[in-house]
Amino acid sequence: MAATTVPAHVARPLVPVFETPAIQPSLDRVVVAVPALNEAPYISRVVADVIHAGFECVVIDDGSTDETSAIARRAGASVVRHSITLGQGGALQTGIDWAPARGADVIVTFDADGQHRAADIAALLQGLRSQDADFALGSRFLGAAVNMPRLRRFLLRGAIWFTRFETGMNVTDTHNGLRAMTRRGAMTLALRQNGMAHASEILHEIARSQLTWVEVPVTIDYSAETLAKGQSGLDFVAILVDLLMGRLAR
Amino acid sequence: MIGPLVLTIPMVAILGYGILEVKRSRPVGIAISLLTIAALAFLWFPELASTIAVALGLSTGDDLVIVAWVGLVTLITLNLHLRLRQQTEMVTRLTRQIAIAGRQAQQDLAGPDGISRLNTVAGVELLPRS
Repeated sequence: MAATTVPAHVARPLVPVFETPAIQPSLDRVVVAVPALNEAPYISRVVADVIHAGFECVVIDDGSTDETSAIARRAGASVVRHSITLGQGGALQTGIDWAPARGADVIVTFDADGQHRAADIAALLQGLRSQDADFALGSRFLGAAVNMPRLRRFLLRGAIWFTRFETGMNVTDTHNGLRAMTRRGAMTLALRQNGMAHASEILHEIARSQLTWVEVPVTIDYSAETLAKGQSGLDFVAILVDLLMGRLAR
Repeated sequence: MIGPLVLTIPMVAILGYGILEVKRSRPVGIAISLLTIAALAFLWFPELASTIAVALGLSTGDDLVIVAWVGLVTLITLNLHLRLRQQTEMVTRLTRQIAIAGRQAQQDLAGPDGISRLNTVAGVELLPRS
């Protein structure tokens, strides 16, 4: 019997014209946005880890007075520098504006103080791919929170319940800076909260956008340094006031 | 008669302020307007203030006027805070645009070694000088 070869164009699976193929987010170009303020001691390792994991890194220097920008640039990151300090939310939105304009398909937000693990970025991307989602939110309560103080855990539990009530999203974590979003997801975000309340605002905006989201287990490493720069009980009160004022200003 | 007339002029100005603020923050603008209308009513019809004061458990109409005035001042302060917040948002947008434009300009003007000599845009320092 003569061997028959199937031409390549015939061998491809055919898609009926009436069937719309599922829209898969193109995850070709991933940019990791790292907002940083006076993080000179840690930024080099954070950037190196991200680049070593195979991703582009942009550091948004929020008006640091130390060598954060220069060190980040030497470590291989692109640096966008604010001339004045806006706050973490303000810096994050700059990254979210900048990355899609530079052709990013996916934007990952990543803290500069070394509490996140670059290895978790791949898990977030897998979450976006497998669920065809626009947002992948890191959850330390599905993953691990190493050396997390009890007070922080208690305050976060309260914040989670508040977020669930306020957004209708059944999240297991809130105020976790490790998240990934598609370009489409990023385009729906227009953060107005420059301070720490931006994390709640992001969830609110995701709920409002009605785009799909998924939670992914991640690990957060708490150290003396990250705890010193982290949120206190009073910060949670400030976040509530900021959210309230933000609503009144709309 | 002179007293209420003199007080009416700033009250009407505050009412106008409240109405104008509705466009910027509806809840605050409406609250300022309503409270000012109430204060004007108490000014011209003191017996109304006394009736409402008794109903609210306040001793006299004068107390109610003071409470209304404190409420009005609080609302105006809140409104100033919100206005400041708006200004901050504008500064944020401006800062972001300068940062992104600066980064873009640095890339566009990068030398053959890929390093830009551009350190300032419109007088704003892009990287701290080391």
